[in-house]
Amino acid sequence: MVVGVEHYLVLSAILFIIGVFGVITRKNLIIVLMSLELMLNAANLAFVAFSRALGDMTGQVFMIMAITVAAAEVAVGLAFVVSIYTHRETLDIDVLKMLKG
Amino acid sequence: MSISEILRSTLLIGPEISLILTGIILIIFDPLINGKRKNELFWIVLIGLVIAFLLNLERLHTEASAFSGALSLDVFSGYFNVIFIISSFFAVILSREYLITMNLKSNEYYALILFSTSGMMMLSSAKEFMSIFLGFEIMSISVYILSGFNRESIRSTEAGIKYLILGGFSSAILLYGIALIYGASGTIFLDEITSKFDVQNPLYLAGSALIITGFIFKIGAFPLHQWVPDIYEGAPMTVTGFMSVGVKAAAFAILLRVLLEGVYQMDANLIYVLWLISAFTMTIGNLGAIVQKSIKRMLAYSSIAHAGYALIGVVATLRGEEIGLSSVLYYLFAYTFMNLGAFGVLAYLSRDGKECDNYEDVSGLWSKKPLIAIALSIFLFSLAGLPPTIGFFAKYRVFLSAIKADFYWLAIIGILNSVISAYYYLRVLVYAYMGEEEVKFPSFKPASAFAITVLTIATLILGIFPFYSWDFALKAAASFLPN
Repeated sequence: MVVGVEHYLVLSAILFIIGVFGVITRKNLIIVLMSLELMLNAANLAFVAFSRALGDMTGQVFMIMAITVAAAEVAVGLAFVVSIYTHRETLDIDVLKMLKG
Repeated sequence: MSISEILRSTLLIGPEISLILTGIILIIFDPLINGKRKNELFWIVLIGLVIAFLLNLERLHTEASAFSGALSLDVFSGYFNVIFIISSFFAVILSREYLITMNLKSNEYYALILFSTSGMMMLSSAKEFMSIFLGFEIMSISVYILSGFNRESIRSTEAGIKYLILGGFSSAILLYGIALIYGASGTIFLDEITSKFDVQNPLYLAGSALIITGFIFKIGAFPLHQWVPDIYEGAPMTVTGFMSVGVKAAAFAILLRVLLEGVYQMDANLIYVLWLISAFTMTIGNLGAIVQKSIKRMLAYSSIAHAGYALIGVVATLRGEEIGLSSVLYYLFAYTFMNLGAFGVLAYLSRDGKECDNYEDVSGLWSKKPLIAIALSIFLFSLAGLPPTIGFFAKYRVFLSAIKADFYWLAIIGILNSVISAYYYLRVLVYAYMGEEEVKFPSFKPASAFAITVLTIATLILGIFPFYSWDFALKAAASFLPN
């Protein structure tokens, strides 16, 4: 079987959807952040697959940039997680309910 | 791209560079200076912002393209940069005393505001998706940190992490959309994508839907507006003011550029989708604002409603009504002064680590601080759209553009909404003028008082003599539209 760009696309769509469900349904902040990374990396996979199929380097450059951004984002996210933990001693997302109208 | 092209382009992005350099200087010098003099780096921030403003004046009458067409330095981007620089300038001045009141470190805060502003400026001139994505993230990541800046406060931390998760979620959606568009067209430049756009290809449709979703989230429009009240309420007051004007204007800048220059001209149904989004955003923002007990949260809902009003102009522009674009630009400009002013007054009234948050906290303001009460009423009148303030003129133009584009119902919904909005804005004033509770107000704060005075005068003067600034918006719009 030849693995074409469609296979990569299907894989990246599946990863993206797993990430979306993870962000929406999981209760642990670390896992939510991991799901976020999964979504970003699904997009990266799509970029690389397209880049390969099109014979164009832009997609790979974009992927490297997106990885950099994701690293910055998760660094900030983990700093917040540490801060939440020192306040509340739990990482359950249900503690985030101070802000309500 | 040759070395000379890189050098030429670098010289063209002076405003961005001056902000980033100022931010780096702050971060380097902050540990080297000890004790109380740390606060004096504030003046460097102001100098950096003024230099950026002066360098940006160049953009208001020239048109250039930098980095092989990745950035388009036209009047449109120059106009938005003026909005961003004004909003961060006043946010910085208002923050000076607010940060001392709340016992927060100042220099990282200023540096983050500057970095975020540079991201917005990149966004306003971006013409390809890599700059768009990076501009978005430079802006957003700085603002995530700013919203969670008060680490001692669980509310602020909560706002930070919520913003990070939801903002990251929308960025991932945007990135996936860009990937699909790239796969379908083989390029990330907006103009090339436009020429290759093919409605039959599902990749284009899915990609553009995901991209628009990402933008709608950042604007805070229906149906992705739920994050706005929580995050605006939890973030420090001056950050909320900065976010509600700067980030929103930047998101509108890029939405307009992608809609008008990019892919979406062809799809007629998009107008009706945006029509619905605009109507729902206004209505939901206003209905939500009525029931709030906290002024800050009320202003958060009101900022959702204002995004809806500005979207009216976007809808009119898509219909081909030229005045629509300039009315959106003018609306965002006007909103900068009045909303930043309202948040500035609340920041002024915060004392001893406690924010001025509830309606009771402004009770009796008129008898103790009459000048501040007058400033607050001018900002709220302007937000409600009453003459002779800038808010009236901006709203009038937006509704006029809807009527000219034959969207009568949208104009009617907008006008009804702005009548409803008067109720909750004036309710603050009822407390301020007639409240009888004993509230202690802080002593005089010179820097914030200066900023509030300038913003009040601008709100009034630009409302009475709007035509100079309106011409400016017309010019920016004319440079941007193809014909």
